[in-house]
Amino acid sequence: MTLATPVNGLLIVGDPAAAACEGDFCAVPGTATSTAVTTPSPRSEQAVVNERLDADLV
Amino acid sequence: MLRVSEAIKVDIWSDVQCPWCYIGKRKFEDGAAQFGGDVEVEYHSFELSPDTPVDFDGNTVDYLSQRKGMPVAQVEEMLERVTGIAKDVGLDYDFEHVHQTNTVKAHELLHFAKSKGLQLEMKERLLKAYFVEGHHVGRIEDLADLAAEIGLDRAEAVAALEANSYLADVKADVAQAQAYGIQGVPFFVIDGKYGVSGAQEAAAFANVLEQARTERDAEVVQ
Repeated sequence: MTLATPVNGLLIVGDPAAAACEGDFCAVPGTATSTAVTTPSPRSEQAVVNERLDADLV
Repeated sequence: MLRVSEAIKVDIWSDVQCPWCYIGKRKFEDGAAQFGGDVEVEYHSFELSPDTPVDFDGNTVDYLSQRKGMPVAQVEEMLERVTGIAKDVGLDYDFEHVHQTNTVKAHELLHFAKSKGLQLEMKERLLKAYFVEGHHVGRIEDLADLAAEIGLDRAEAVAALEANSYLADVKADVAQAQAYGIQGVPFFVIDGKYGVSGAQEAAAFANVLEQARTERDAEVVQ
């Protein structure tokens, strides 16, 4: 289980790339549409960074 | 002194017109079953598209191609993939017959149902109605029919929706989501401590529920 930086009192866990809907659009992971019309949230980016730090990838 | 652990509370922010919310619901339920402990679920309102008219003239393909400027072929390919993923968890999405609409009344109905102890039943009925059966979930009369199907008083539901009796509760949920920093749904808050975003695999939900229980048990021992 990945523990990320607390966000407004919550510890964000799980796969930061899991499918979700933001705004009025629901991206499909792994497709062109997932990157073409959505912007990763700051929280998600931080989670990815933390995951890499946990895994000593950076 | 040892005390019996209470159920682990799971607060879920979700929208009726969110395909990943229904898929995530199934995966969460699977994860909760794998976990095996007591879980108390409460759904909260999140409006993905509050500016959508109640009677949008078209389905999801029309909506995304018109509102997002996406080519129809690209939208269809995307929805085909979502439909396939839904199929994997036992859901037969039918985007061709989806009635794109404003979901604020559906959220009000969920709060009405919660006041009667039937929120979970109402949530499932609304998601199935929208994604599988092609029902309209934005109009009061249609919503009242669905409410009656799960045992709620139809006339009382109509009166509550017409009077906007639960609109403040919907807005309070949206405000709480903003306070948490929630930007997308589904979003799960486990035991008021852990945040889980998106339609995660069932094992991820089982793991975080187990983590919450382990911490509870540690507190009991202390």
